[in-house]
Amino acid sequence: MRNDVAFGQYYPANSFVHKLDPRVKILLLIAYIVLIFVIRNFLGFAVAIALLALAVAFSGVPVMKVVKSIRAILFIIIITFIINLLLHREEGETPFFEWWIFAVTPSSIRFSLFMALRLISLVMGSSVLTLTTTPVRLTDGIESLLYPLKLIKFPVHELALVMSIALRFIPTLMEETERIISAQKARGADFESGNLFSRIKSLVPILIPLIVSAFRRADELGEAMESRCYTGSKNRTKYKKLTLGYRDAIATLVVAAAFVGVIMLNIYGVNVI
Amino acid sequence: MEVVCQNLSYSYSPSSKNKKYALSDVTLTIKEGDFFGVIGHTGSGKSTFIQHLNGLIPVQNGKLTVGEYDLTDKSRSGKAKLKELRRKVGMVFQYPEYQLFAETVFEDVAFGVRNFYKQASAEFIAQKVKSAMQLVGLDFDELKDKSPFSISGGQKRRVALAGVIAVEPEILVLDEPCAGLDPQGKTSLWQLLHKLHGTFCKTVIVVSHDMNDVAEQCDKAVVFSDGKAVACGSPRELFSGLEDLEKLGLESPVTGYLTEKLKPSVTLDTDFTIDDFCDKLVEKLKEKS
Ligand SMILES: Nc1ncnc2c1ncn2[C@@H]1O[C@H](COP(=O)(O)OP(=O)(O)O)[C@@H](O)[C@H]1O
Ligand SMILES: [Mg+2]
Repeated sequence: MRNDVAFGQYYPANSFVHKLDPRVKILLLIAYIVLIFVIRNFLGFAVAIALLALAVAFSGVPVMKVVKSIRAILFIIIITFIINLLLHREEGETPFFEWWIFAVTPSSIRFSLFMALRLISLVMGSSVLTLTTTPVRLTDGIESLLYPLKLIKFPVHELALVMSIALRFIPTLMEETERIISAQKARGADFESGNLFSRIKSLVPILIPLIVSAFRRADELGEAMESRCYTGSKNRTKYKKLTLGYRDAIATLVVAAAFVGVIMLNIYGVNVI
Repeated sequence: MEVVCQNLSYSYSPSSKNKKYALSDVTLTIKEGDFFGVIGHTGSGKSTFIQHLNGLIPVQNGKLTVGEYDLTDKSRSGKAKLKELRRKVGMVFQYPEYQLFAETVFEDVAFGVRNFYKQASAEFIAQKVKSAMQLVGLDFDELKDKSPFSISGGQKRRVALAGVIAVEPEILVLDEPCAGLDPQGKTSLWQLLHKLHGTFCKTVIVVSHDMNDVAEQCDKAVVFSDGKAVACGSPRELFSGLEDLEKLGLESPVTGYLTEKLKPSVTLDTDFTIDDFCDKLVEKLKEKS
């Protein structure tokens, strides 16, 4: 159960991608997502997938781990594929198949495949980020990227702290949940039978202790932080400074090249596929 | 009900390549009527072992029977049987007060009764709750309508305990019941457990890592180390081999160290309880003078 949480899926290694600055990784991921949405023909996807393959190859993460990340949203991919396939329609097309408001046309096949490919490359790309970046470095990166918002008095540091604490406590709360479930089962609780209403009701003995314990932990953590003189972002320095290196430049160039490639294909390659 | 387990093994990650065993090859019998200790340092598999006893953790490898319930046989241990077993084997987890959830103490103690006796009448439930609360030393009339979150820590633990014994289990299993209690609370908890041992709870199984408690309180104990049951016997048998215990990273009770220190001049044959140790020592001193 514990190992299924997508957030804590960091894969420890010492690769090129692991060593990239988290800020650069986040920005490049955003660029990659934009790229995916700019693509207008299937050849463009070849470029995007090549880029993804390159990232995976230099990340030291087993390919299967990246592929498996799709599992979490497989259902959504299939549903959108079916909906697009049946409902998408362009003017003046002869459908292969038609029934009531549903129809499968050449353009709907193309469009639904397109959307499915988009979703898949999106999720796999994001998982490369979470697989190669520890939650701590991720929040450090986000904090640093959001820094300009401080000008409008936005509590950037506090937000980052809240995020990293939330990430840190996911496994703890999972463990706690397991323990509470066991304890209530030992007292004869049954979470598997009965109608929907009684099943929802049977969650009360789990949720209440869980919430109480989350508050207790929050209290304890707050006290521990205060007793170590934590006062928020003011005058706070960092133990691990983020620095840019030659790797970041290389990675940025590669993504930029892919971008140029996709735009060229969009302009000159419309008729390819 | 007797607990018999043979070559019991369990791994939390059975599919991984280099799997780590939380329990390996445990063979052990706990007789009806025992006040049984389970000792071992953190991560040695104590909690994993006891959760097998009421089927919270299914048997992976080996055999386990509790009374007439064969936990190995998955086809026969249907849902109804498992529920019956869970009534007969009451389990008190570590820090049980963290599992309280109901609006009133009464409702929390009644939770198990309602689950195990589906068609029970209100009087039946009230009677069970009342006698359980009295057994653990809580004032029924004063506390029954209070919120379990508003009472003191010691009372919370007793409420949680009452919630388990309200269905009159024949075997009572407790995971480190003394954790976080002050010395006074500890003493009265042990007294309570001995009192329960004389009633419907014919067998009491207690996880502990305080050797003094084990020497004082238990008739028999098993020592876990790295998932293996490395020694089993009465305190007298367990604590006479001081070196073996130290090899397992365990301590001996204070009386064990004292016996060892006295050894060249006085050899004592004691069962390592404070009372017996003192009696034997006084005896020897009288002999000498
Ligand atoms: N839910 C779990 N998932 C994975 N591993 C676990 C889980 N619970 C315990 N373990 C592991 O099993 C081993 C035995 O743990 P446990 O039975 O809790 O020991 P003890 O109660 O003696 O401290 C430990 O190595 C622990 O890390
Ligand atoms: Mg334990």
